[in-house]
Amino acid sequence: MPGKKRVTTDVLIIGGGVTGTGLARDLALRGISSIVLEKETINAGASGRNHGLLHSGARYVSSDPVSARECKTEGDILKKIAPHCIEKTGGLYIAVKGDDETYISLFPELCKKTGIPCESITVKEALALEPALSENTIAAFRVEDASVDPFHISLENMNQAIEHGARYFNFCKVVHFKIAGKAIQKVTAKNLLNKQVFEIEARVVVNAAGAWSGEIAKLAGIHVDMIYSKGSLLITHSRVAGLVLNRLRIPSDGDILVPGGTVSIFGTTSMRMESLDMIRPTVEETDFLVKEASAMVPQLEKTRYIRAYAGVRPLISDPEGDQSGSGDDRSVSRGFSLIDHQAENIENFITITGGKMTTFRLMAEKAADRVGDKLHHKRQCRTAILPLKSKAPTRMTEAGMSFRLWSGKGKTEDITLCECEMISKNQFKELITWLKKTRKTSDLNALRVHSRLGKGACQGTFCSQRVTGFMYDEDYLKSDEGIYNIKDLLRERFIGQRPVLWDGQLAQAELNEALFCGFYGLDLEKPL
Amino acid sequence: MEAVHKTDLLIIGSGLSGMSAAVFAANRNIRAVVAGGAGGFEYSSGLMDLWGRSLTEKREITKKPWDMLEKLSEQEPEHPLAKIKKETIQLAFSELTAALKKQGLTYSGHKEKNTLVMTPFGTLRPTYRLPLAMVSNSEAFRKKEPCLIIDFKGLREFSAVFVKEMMKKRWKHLRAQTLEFPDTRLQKEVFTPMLARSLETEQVQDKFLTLIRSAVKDETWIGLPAILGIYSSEKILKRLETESGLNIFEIPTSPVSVPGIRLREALMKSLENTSVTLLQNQRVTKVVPLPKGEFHCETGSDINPVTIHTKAILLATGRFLGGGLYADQKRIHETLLGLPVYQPENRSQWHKMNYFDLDGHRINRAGIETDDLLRPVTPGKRPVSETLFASGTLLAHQDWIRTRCGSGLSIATGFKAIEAYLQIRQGSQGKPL
Repeated sequence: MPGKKRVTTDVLIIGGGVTGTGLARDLALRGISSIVLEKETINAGASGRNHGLLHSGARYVSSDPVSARECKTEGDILKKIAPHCIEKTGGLYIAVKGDDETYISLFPELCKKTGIPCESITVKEALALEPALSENTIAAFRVEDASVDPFHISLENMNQAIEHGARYFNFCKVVHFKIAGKAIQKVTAKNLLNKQVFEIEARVVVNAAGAWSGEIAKLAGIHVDMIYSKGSLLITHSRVAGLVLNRLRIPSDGDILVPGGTVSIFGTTSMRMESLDMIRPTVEETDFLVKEASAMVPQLEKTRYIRAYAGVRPLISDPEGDQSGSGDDRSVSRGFSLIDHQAENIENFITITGGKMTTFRLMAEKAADRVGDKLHHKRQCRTAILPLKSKAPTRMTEAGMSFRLWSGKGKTEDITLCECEMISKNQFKELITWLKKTRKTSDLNALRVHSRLGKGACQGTFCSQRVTGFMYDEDYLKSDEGIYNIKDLLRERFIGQRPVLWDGQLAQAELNEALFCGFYGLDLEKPL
Repeated sequence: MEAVHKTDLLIIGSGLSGMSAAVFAANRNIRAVVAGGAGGFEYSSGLMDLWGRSLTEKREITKKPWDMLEKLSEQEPEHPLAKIKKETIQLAFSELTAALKKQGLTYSGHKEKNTLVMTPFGTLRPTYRLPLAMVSNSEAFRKKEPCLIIDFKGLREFSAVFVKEMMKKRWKHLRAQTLEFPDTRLQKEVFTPMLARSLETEQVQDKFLTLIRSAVKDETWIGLPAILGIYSSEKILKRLETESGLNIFEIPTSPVSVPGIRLREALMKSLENTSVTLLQNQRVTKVVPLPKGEFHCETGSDINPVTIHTKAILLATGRFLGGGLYADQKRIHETLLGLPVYQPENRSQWHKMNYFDLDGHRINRAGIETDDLLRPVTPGKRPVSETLFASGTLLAHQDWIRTRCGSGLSIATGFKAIEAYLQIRQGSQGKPL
């Protein structure tokens, strides 16, 4: 526990993204203890900032057939072990007038060669399946894409790991490695909330910090050459299409539209960044994405957007990977890298990075195998067989799920606190109780991470006050904590709202500001 | 058959600015029509601010609105309030509050200073004028005597504990309690307008008295969410206070706001039997300028659309929420006449990165620029029309939200627009308008 001076574990995992949590689950199921150290919250990095697309593999058939095959295998496994986190929407590859016809004609051949199921359908059939498609559609193929909730996956990973003995510390940052001989002997970490510094003794340290992997490696004096490639995405107010829609062209900007519960998500951009500061979606990227994507789905030009977000792909610079020589970060291999730092004379330190959401389980398995070797632990990986399911209330991360859970239970005493996402008082209560018990924290941002709070059309205007009031009533909040909770939530939400503030969403933002600044005066509130 | 109204002045927009202007027009016996939607009153606190934030480096709540307005004339001469004299603003407030008082809604306050009122967030909001039911709100906080804050079972918009916890560092003798409002046992959710309406009957008032009597311990002050009636709030307050012997006050409540509805109702009533016709729920959707400075207008109601022929227009259509302004992906537009809108160069400039940036978002200062008679101007600073005026939050060069000047801006520019209209009309006497 962060409060103590020193903790010990078999494995320290740095990073609570889908890879880190996946690794914690894998190790736990093998009987190896671990601690996950996360400087923010679950999926705060790229794991929570992607399309939520379970790739069929078709996207990589030309550029990276190995990744394509991995996607296919891993996608099939996840559909089996975590069906509750996945919506088997199916997907389409769509070409519109003006797209490269050579690529179109090669596509089915490449899929076949790589072993990715792909069925050619007529334009008429495609339009019947997905009326949102452009009338300029010239070719269409069906693939096995699906929509996945990355938060749900990571929460299940972590919760199942915790149920098998793993520990999770959030808002804790690694500040120092003490290296003695050929090993990291001690890791110093800092709890960013209470500023306490503590030490972790682990037999193996795994760097699963995603885009921050380079910074972590640097603490051990090791250079990992990272490329920071920012990808921005947009969330629509309501679901635009039933299937995953991919633009049939060489991977480019704004060519994937993924349904996610009651909304749709599309993107991305790919922009080389010099550093990890100020990773935010911009107005320019938003406008560019809208323009690009509306070629495939024209209504995207007129639709209402709730927010934008940006993530950084954790890519490792590999001169040989950039085969096209185009300099586009998309052509850097999306396969993953497992780096054993034994080569740099630190025997108990591994970096696992790169890859993608769809293949996280495989990445975790390979990393856990290497950890097992180092610990002389022989037990086999079981993550591909056992259901990825915990006892925790994680289902509330999914859009529309709260209402289904709630209406199913038929609790007539209950009242709705969040109307956009239909989350009730008792659901928040259950979640807060659980957070208190397992996470020792239950602020509004934690509730946001673990549910749909603040993610609907109002972006927190009404629900944040109601939920805060409720938390005060239930004694979860004291003194003036509540308004700083709300301020944090609104500040965080605004980063994503800012690029999409026009039309109706701008009017909503105006009301929001009139209430929170004009009426309640939060802009001028400072801690007493 | 569509109804056709012929009028001298059409006030478009029935928010605080449009409705205030309508009251001023009625007092001057101007033949006018006011058309609009709900006016946003249900989102307002029911307080009337004038200026509530300091203009110094250190941004904080201010109790000295007039000092700030003086400073404003130096710092921001283009601000609509910087162009109105103190005496005129005072006249506007007193004329409006006198009209409201006639309808049983008394607004009071210090002539020179702001009053601080407790909000449902347990923060303090500066206001220039406040309704009677909130006078004790500020007094209670000043005296800090034992006070009970009450909320109600099933009411999501107000938490007494929230207010108490926020206040407790500054006010020790504060207690919070949840009560079940009379006759709501079977309702799982209750709303403030619903409670306010039921308190209009004496029967419920009696039960309510029993309820609060049983709740108080040593407290002499009671704070409630704003629910003390809609039409006869002052009578209800007086009766409850007299019979309980307690000081009772309201805390303005999050939308749907009862004090806002009271204000709207009183404004509407004050227009009855006057020279002003109110067209409720009739949003003007089309304005066609005619020769000689007249206008042909249509409302967009599905049920009974109205055509209005008017000699002058006061545009009080509000901003994005009110519908006076509309932003597409690139630009901000004025929705009815396509008037030029003062605005930042592009969308990247609209908002600051930090939501709570103390300088405020640039888009908030976008709006309609006018001449000294509040007539919208062309980019060459010439009036678009001799007989077209604009008032309220639609105007450019102000950030009413951050500086807490929404009511003052709306009322004072509404007043000035009516005066300007009369001036133009008189100036053109003998000539058709």
